[in-house]
Amino acid sequence: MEKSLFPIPLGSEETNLIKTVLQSRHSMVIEDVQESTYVIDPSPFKSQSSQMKSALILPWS
Amino acid sequence: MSDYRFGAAILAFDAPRSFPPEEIVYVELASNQVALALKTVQQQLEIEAQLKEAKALAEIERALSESESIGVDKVLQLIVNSAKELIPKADTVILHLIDNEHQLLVPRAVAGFKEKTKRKLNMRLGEGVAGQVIATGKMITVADVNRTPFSTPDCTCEIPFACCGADSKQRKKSWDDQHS
Repeated sequence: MEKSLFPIPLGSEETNLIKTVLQSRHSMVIEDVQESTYVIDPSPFKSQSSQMKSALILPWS
Repeated sequence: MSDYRFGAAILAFDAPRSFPPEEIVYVELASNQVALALKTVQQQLEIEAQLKEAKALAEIERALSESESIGVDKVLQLIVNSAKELIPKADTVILHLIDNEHQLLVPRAVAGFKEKTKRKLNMRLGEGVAGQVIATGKMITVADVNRTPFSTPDCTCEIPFACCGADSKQRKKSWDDQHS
């Protein structure tokens, strides 16, 4: 369970976002990535998925 | 169960959208089921590892209690075999005992080596990592044998890689090649 099946490098923005979700243990809704206050710089998300405009982030804990 | 943190799932959409509360609840329920399955697998793995460890220790304890009949060497061999098995990434395990008469560390049991090399693995007292451990009585971890302060580049003992010499990895390979 330690080995990544899909080694996708995360940007600092994504890492911080996921860290926040994991620490809060609550899901996070981003209705508009471009306008989100959580995502200051949406470019890291764009690099993973150029189509990503909204997202629901769920903690697995 | 709250100690486990596996990660996060990102559900991405290609358009801005709102998420109705019932949709969030539904997705959270599904997500919780996945997390629960992960926890179950993780706990199962932990239980299996603990069971394996307990079995190995019980076997050693039993062997120690019967050491008079089965012999000390068999007990020591059981210990190194168990150590190698319980630490899966360990390639080799050597159990040295001190020969006070000759001031040597003598391997009494090895695992991961070819058996015929065993008698040639003597080390001088005070050399390398093993010597430091005996001198201090404390455990030492070596992340990189090529960068340890206990390197003994002028080491002449017959198991230079155990002394953590500067080119220990190459010398170990050479040693294995010569004695294969």
